[in-house]
Formats: sequence, C-alpha cells, structure tokens
Amino acid sequence: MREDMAARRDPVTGSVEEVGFFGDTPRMMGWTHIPAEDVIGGVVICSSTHAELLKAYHLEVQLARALANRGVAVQRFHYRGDGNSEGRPQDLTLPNMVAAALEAKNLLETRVQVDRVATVGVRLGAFPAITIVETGQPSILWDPVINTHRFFRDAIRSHAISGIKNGAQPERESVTLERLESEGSIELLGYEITSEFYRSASNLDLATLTPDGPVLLVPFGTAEVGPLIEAWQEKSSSVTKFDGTANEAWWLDEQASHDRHERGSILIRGSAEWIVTQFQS
Amino acid sequence: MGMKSETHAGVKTSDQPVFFPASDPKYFGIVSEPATATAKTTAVILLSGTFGGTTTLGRNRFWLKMARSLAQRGHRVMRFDYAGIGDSTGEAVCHELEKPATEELRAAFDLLASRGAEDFIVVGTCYGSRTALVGSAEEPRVRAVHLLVPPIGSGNKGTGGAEHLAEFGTPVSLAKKAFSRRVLRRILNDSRSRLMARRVISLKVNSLLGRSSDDQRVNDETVYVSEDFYRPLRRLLERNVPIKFMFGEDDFFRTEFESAREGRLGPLLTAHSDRLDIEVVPGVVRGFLTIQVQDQCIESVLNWVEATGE
Repeated sequence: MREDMAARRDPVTGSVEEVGFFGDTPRMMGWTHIPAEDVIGGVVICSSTHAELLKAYHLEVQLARALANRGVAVQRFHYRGDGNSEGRPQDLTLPNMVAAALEAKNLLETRVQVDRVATVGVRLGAFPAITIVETGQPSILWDPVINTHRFFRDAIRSHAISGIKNGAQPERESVTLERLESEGSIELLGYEITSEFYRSASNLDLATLTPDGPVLLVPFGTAEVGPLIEAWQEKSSSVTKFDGTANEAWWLDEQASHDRHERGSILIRGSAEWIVTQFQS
Repeated sequence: MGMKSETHAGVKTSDQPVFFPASDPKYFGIVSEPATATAKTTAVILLSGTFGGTTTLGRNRFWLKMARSLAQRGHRVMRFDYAGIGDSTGEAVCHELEKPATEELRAAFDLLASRGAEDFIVVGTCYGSRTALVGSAEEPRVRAVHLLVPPIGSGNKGTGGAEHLAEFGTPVSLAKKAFSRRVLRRILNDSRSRLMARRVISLKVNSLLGRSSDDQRVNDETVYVSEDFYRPLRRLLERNVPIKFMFGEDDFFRTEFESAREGRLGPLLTAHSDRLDIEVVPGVVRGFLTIQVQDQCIESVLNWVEATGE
C-alpha cells in the first residue's frame, strides 16, 4: 500500500477498505472495498454529482460494505472536480465521468483479481455505469436520470422557485442558460454549475444507450421508468424493476429518519443480493 | 464565480485520507496541508453540521474549499465523518445537540498532535459548533474557536429542537404540523419522533399554564440556553480562548442568540467581551445556501485563523 493511502480492516467481517488518490493529475479519491474471503466478482459504483453525491453518499458506502461482506470487491470514487477529488469544477463533464469510471474499473481490476465487474449507477451516474459495463455483466441503476434535459430544467426551476421565496426576481430559463454560456458558470441551489458540465450532459436520453447485460432498475420516487424499460426490452436487454423502495421520494426527505433507515436497508440488501445472484448464475 | 478566498491560490496543498484513531480506526477523515512547506504548528479542525451523507464536504464542497484555503496559508487542517455518517463506521444515530461528537474530536486532536500540531483552532457549524464548544472546553491546547450559526438550545440537530417548536409554535400551528401526513407517519413509526412530539406538547402545555418546565430556563422573558452550550462557553472564555460567532441577520439562531444575550448569556458575554467577536452578515448563513454566503464564511474563518493563529 502506498504511503499516502489509508486502510482499515473491519474487526467483525475482516474486509479491508483502502482509500487514496489515483489516476493522473488532477487525481481522484477512490475507495477499494476488499472482501476477507474468496472474491466472486467486482463492482464499480458510479455516483451522481453535486447535491446528489451527498444525498446518496452513505447509502453507497453501506452498499459497498454489504457487497464486500458477500465476497464482492467494490471500487468507489469521486469524479475530478467534484467530491473529495482534485480538479476544478470545469473538469466535471460527462465524458470525463465516463473516463473516470473506466479508470476506477481498471484500478479495481489491478488491485483485486476479478473476472467479472458489474456497475452501479446512481442518478446521473447511470450514464457512465451503462457505458463502461462489459458485455454480459450486470448493472444496477438507482433512481437513474433518464432524460438530462428534464433534469437540468427541473434544477433551474427549483432554483428559481427558491429565489422567489427569498424575494429574488424570477429569471426565465432561457435567460439563465444564456447567462451560463456568457459567464461560464451559474449557481443552482448553492452549487456551481459550469457551462462545460451543462454542454456535455444536458441533452441525453438513457433510453438511447443499450445495456449489454442484465439491469436492475431501482426507481426511488415517482420517476416514470416504464418507457425506459420498454425501450430497453425492445433492444432485447434484460431489465428488472425493483419495487422494494417505491412509493415516495423517501431518500430526499432528510427528516424521515425512520423511512430512510428502513428503505435504505431494503435497497442495500436487495441490490447486494441481486448482484451476487447474477455473479453466481 | 471566483472564490474571494483564493488569494493564495498558487500554493500547492495535498489531501491525505486517514482512518483514525490508530488503535481502532473506525472514523474517516481527510488531512489537508501545504504540499511543499512544513505546516504551522497550529492545526485547524473543521466540524460540519450533519447535512448530507458525509460531513467532509458540505454544500458545493464548502468544507473542502475551506480546508484547502487554510492549507494554502500553511495550516494542517482536518475534517472528518462523524460516527454513522459517510465513511466512518457505527450505527446511523440521531445527532442530538446534547450528544456532540466529542469522541471523534478527541481522536482528531490526538492524530494532529502526533503529526506535529502543538495547538488547535476549531471551527464548527450547527451540530459541529456544539461539538466544537464541548470538545474544545475539554482540550487545553485549543487556542481559538469559530462558531458559524451555533444553536444555543437543545434537541435534535436541524430541527431547532422541541424548545424552538414549543416556544414559537401556536397550538393551532403545532396541531396542523402534527397532523400533516409526513409528520404523523414519523410519529407513528419512529420512537424518537414520538419522544420529540411528547416533549413539545409538555413544554407548550407548561408554557400556556405559565409553568416553567425546566430549571435551565432562565426566565420567561428570555430564550432557553442549553447547559451544554453555556458551560463549555463559560469554561473557554474563563480560559481566555478567543471565540467568534457568525450569524446571518435573518438566521433563526441569531434571533435566539440575541434573545439569550438579554438574559442568561448577557453577563457572561459582557464580562469576556474582549475575547469575543460577533459578526453578523446580511441574509441567512445557516446551511450555506448560496455561493456568496459560502465565500463570506470561508473569508471570515480565514481572517479569524490568521488573527488568532501563530
């Protein structure tokens, strides 16, 4: 282990967590979760970005630990320009997210002997997760962003509504986007969104990608995933919908501690067991 | 959208992840320091509120930016996940203001001391500000404390506490809140929410009947000050530790603080006014909801650390 890395062994399960920076400058922070016993496969978790990185953070840690306890090695990481990684906000673009996910996969394959690597994509992380997964390997998508145009539009509207509540003059969406281009970045709900990020990720449809392996789709809230499932099934992709956490946008409600805990446990157990089943089949 | 704080942007810094304490590495943290120079002997510890799934980052990487800016000025800086949050282990717990993360903070002091720190400046907000107060009062090597919108009452983090609800809610508004679908479901399903509801009802009934329910309530004219806020604050001030408070004009916690200055806090703050600095900026600081506020807070902390550090 390198000097600038840190590691801990879980005293109960014996699994090891290693964390450090990897890749070319600007480097990314990554966590490798290594099972104590025989490794049956690997998983790369592709997080979302900005606020959504924070919201799902601990669930992703818990999933990684649950998988390691079941014999699956896991690589987590933060994209350049986001989270605890190095880099400027301008470094965060969708192509860079895909490249980063590939680097994370290579790191896992270098560190742990794995024949099969699945992916987990959270929200916007669905795009790199589906893009980098190898033919026949499974993917799980947690509440994927299906249409990025709508995703950005909703974020801009939420910001405008929040501003109106605080007495600001409302700004038309087109004006906000013009300002993004002319100023290079805008503020959305306290986060800096760069024109590089917007240009690279604002007009994508997940349905246009074709998963090459089985997919477990986990909508957290009321997202309409039916058309996505139909589109992928028409391309002969195997898609399963997981309903264990459905009904409400529970994960967005920070106060609903009971719901978050209960549904988080269901989500993690369901996701971990599905991956193990895929590796064993 | 440049950050005002990046006046030392040319100085390279490095971040190192750590699991700590060495004897039982159950907590996760990140130590930032100057990459090419020896760090100053005054280390800085940053204590976030419990916003989000990790307490190392904050909104728009607020704590990361603050850590790297301080490291550019030569300090070794540590931020970490509290137990049950982010990459630290432990059960997800309800982070009550009166149960601050002092075990984690003590372990952070030890880790930084093992790397050459001789004394500390502690910065905290919300739950982290209460951890900063209690933990710093126990640690003689703390030389200054910066509190961003600290709550002075009790209760669960982020709620303003049962006292806040009872104090400022009318019977009708409280009943409406309790019977909303979301709150009702929480009360039915979650024992902690039931306890909270019971306490709000008890406090409100006592207040309506003109009874003081708690001997810590100074008098009916002033706001409740938690002993876990008052005692460590007094201890630090008596030790001559400089303390800075920062609020937004429209922060609820500022209203609470100003009310408390009219009562119990007043004599203490007056007696030690030479060690105190109270900064009030326009708008709301709590939650660091805008980049402008984030920059103002980082600048305030940088200036304070420069003024009180070596």
